[in-house]
Amino acid sequence: MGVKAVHRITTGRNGLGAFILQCKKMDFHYCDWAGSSKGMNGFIKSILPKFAAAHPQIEFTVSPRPSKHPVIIGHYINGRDKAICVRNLEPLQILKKVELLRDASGEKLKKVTKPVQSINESVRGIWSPYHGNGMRV
Amino acid sequence: MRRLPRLGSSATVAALPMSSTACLRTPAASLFKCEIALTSATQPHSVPRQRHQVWANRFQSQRRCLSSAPPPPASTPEKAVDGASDVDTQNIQLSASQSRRRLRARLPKTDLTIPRKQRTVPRPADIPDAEYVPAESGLGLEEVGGLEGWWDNPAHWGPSKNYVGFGLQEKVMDAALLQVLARKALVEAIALKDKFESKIKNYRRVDPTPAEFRMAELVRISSKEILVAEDGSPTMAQHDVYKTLKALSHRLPVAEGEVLPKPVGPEMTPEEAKELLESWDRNWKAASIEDPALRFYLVKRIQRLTGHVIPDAKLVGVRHMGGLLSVLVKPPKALKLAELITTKSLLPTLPNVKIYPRRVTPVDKEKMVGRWKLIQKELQERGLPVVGTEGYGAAVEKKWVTGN
Repeated sequence: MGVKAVHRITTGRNGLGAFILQCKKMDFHYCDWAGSSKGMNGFIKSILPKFAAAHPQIEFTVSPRPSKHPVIIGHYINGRDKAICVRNLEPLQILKKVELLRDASGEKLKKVTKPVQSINESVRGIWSPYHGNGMRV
Repeated sequence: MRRLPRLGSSATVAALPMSSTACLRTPAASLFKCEIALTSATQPHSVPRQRHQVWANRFQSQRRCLSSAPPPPASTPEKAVDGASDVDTQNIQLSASQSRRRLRARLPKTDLTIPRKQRTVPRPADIPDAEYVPAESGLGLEEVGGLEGWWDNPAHWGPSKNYVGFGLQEKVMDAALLQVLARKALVEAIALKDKFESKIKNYRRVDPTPAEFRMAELVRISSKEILVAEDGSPTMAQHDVYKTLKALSHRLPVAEGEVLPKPVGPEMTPEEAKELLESWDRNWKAASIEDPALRFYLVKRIQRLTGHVIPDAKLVGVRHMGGLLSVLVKPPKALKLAELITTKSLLPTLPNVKIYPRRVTPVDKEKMVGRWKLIQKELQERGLPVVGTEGYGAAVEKKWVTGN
């Protein structure tokens, strides 16, 4: 029985091109009556169709929430979600917020002090005072 | 309220009880005996003596002092002949049946369903069955028939008692149809004004008949040409006035007591009304309606034809027909965003977009992931409310933990 080669499905690009968008779902809540939802209603009518067509990997839901300010909630693949209130904002301002949610990782906001971050362990290992030659004081 | 007799003399004053409450408490039998002869009042009786007689129920008078009811018949002597009393009862029964017949003859003809003649069961003494034992109380006996709730049954009321409103019961809501009917009312008003000038009494010519909603009449009358003068006063050609008045004259006041037919809506569809509306020029909307008689007729007629009552507060500011139409024809209700998106099919064409027409509740979210039935079952097993709190208050334990 000869060895059968496994068919290659994806092209290996050494990690490049394997990016998965962290935002998996976006909820748009609006109110039909309230004035604070005016911009949101305009956004849903005019901008959302194009934005949703451009991002087929994100699930979009639009539902009313009467007597409440308009909110956009982003759901992320790490299980967290992020909500932004867009009351009294114009459609283009709301688009900025939507892009922010799209680009967010879903992690809690942290102060970034170092230019490079890695989840790999250090090659040198963790320093220990009981190992090595010790240090003379 | 019954008035007490005027106190004529000191004797009658003495004859009356001291307070009205005392007389109310007095048994009726004793009140009838409390009659004082007018003649006795003139006699020189001393007051204490009369009072004594009154309290002893021995003071007789023709004047009733406390009750307006007739005095009870004098007690029949025991030696009265039995046969004579039977004749009397027969006479009484005869006269009762005659009076009932007369009363029925006097009743006006009505379409009300009047209850049938009441039948009464024979008295225990008249029942020949020796084994019959009459019930001693009505408890537990089934009640059959009776007049209770008779008039609560709508079937017992005749058609003449049904409410027939002046205006159309179901309001006309279509904008084009409303404008056609308003124009018809204006044409009629101009014709009546031309005929009777501003004598408002003569404007009461038009009464409801179903004919006025017929398509042919609607088109014929509303299409009459309205000429608007420079000062805004509307007029019509004489032959149009004549024809309109002729059409109106068919609707003379209905005879008294006649049941008015329930008006049904106009026979014109909104599309036909729109076509008709487009065939007219817009000058008629500039017609002035400042003449009070014309305006009153117009508003009344519009109420009749469309079912819309124009409030006085809004009518005050209306000067011309266009203003009246803007009050009468309301813009259509704005569509909700979900409806708008669905009708314009903006978003639903995309596979990654979902539109909900109402709020997505926590229950909906559980249903979406197929957890709701399990939650429901577990809650029911524990005897907990599935939806809502069912009288359970807020968690007390939270207070204990937080120490508030």
